[in-house]
Amino acid sequence: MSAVVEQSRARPDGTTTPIFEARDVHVHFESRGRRGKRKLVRALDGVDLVWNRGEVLGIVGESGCGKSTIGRALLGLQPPTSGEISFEGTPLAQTDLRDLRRRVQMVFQDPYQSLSPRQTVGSLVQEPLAIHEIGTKGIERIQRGVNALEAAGLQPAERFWERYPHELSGGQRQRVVIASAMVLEPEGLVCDEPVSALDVSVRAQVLQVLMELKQTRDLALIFITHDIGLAWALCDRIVVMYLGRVVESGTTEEVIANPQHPYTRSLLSVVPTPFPRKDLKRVILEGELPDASRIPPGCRFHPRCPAVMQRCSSDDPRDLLHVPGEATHGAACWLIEDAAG
Amino acid sequence: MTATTPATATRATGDVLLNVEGLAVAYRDAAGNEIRLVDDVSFSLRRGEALGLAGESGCGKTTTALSILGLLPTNLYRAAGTITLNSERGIMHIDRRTDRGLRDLRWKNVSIVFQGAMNALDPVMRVSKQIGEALRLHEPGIDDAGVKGRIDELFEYVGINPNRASQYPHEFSGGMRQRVMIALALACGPELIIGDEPTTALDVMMQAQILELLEELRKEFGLAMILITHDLSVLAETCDRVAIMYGGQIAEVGSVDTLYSSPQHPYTHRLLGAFPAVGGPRELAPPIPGVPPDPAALPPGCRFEPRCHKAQDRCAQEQLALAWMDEGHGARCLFAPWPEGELPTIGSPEGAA
Repeated sequence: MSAVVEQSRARPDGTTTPIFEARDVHVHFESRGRRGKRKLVRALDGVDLVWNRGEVLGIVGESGCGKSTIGRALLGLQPPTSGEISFEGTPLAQTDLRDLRRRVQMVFQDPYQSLSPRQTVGSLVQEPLAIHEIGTKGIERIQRGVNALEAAGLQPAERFWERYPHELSGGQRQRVVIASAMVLEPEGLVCDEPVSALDVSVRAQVLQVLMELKQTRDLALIFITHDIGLAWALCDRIVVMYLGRVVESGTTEEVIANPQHPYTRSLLSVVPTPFPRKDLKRVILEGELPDASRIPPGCRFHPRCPAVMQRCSSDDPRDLLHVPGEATHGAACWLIEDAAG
Repeated sequence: MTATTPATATRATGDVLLNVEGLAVAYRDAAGNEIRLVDDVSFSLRRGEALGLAGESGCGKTTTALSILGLLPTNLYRAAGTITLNSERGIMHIDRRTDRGLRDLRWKNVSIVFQGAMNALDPVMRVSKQIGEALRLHEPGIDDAGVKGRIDELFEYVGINPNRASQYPHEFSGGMRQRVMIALALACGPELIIGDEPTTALDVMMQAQILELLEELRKEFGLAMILITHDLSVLAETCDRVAIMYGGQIAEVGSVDTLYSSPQHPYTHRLLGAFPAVGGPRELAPPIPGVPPDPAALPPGCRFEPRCHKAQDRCAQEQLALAWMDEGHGARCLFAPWPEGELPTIGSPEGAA
């Protein structure tokens, strides 16, 4: 029997407490389907996740897999139905959410929607300081705001200070969002598809800003993305989600060079890249991601799985099974136990 | 000004379906000046070939495609150039056609698949009726049974159960709607399909399904395709040739293999860097600073010069025509490795018209 995988890097000696740790987190919604029939949507259905200090973690998967919901749940924006999330070792329920939100910030995909259209850039970037009562009103907050804008690549800051969001380009707006998050000097930034709404050259500029901040401030980042090329280039560790569950996790090299879950393999094989991989056979899955209100029994991936076995339709691979020979690599698939056992 | 080098010879040879020569599209500003959004664009397309048009928003890729369909917005006009379709029904000079002539050509010879199928389909009309309309317009003799038979057949091709033909667009998921759009595009048996970011709004798996479908249909019907996208990785897997557009012009054009493995224009080079290849170097390539030029205030020399990491004084003064290095590979850059003794054709700023 394979061992169950722990995702944390420094667990055995206990030197590092992860920023966040999620254990068996469920987020269920009740929604009304056709003809008013009630149904239970299981957006997260038993997620285990660890986000370490200073780490760039990629959460990848198709839309509807729960990758945005887990981001929101970590920040207390979406209370879990069951399971436990802890922030620096303390359960969220006992954490001062105000303090948490100062220390971990979120950047959303659409910079149009995350900025108030009636505030100037200068006022937007100082607002988090006022909310968290940091510094004194006036010169001190202005100075911090200017620094944050310039660190996000809006130089000189005076040129943007009096402008409104509609006067900025998409890339500049996303930089204002990043500056407003960074002005609080957080330890972690959860980025939900931070560049997918941006144009090609702007996208690279914004990514560079984020990676510079990571290096100069020892910032931990979560990239929620469907872009595997991006995850490959930027992330230390990757978790792959499918229908509300983590199905594979490991270092970026482990997951991408040696994908174990048939879903990860398929996902990797269909992601277009400028230099198509010859070693992966293209496996395009049929149909669409099933509705989260009708999660298949057994392994949730079995109806679409190209390597489905008999037990898969009844046995749910609840935990990540350790991939033999690799340190932190695990996948929720019975194939691994077969190989190991 | 167009290249005097053997451009026509080194571009698509063989059975040429579409030829765009020196195309310029412009609007008039408040003062009556002609502002060109597309300028000096020339390319051709063989029957059954797939060409990718790539570049940032505003580079002119969609405007170029809309000219081919005669679907330019009313404030834009074709300021120069010719567009010729070498159809099986005869040679069609698209640039000389009237509105009526263009209507006759659309869907029948050239069709388009847009990014948001929800906007392209009428939300209050059953999809069968929308496809039926296109069929009846182009095949006046067709009867109800003929329409139904044809729709069933189209739905089979694109992988939708024909029973769903009587549904409304909102009853389909994003991927399925894009399939309906493709069925509509195929309805009248076109020779050329233009895909304007057809998979941009879709998820990876759905994107793969749609791209695979387009590829199969293209092979089956010998269709030529122009695929417009900003995503260079999508083009790598679907197109034979790629043209990179910048500031309304083609900056570089070549076969996918050549262009991706040895890009010669600094813009192409940096653009490719924005798409990290899985398994490639685990770092970000340096981004391109700044923003694309305003068509109303273009740089006097090379349009990419203000953002170019290789730019020299000369680049700010001279305009280059697209010139050819070797078979089918052309670039608009002074520093490309030109065959010995052959400098690229250079135009002065005044001679640009």
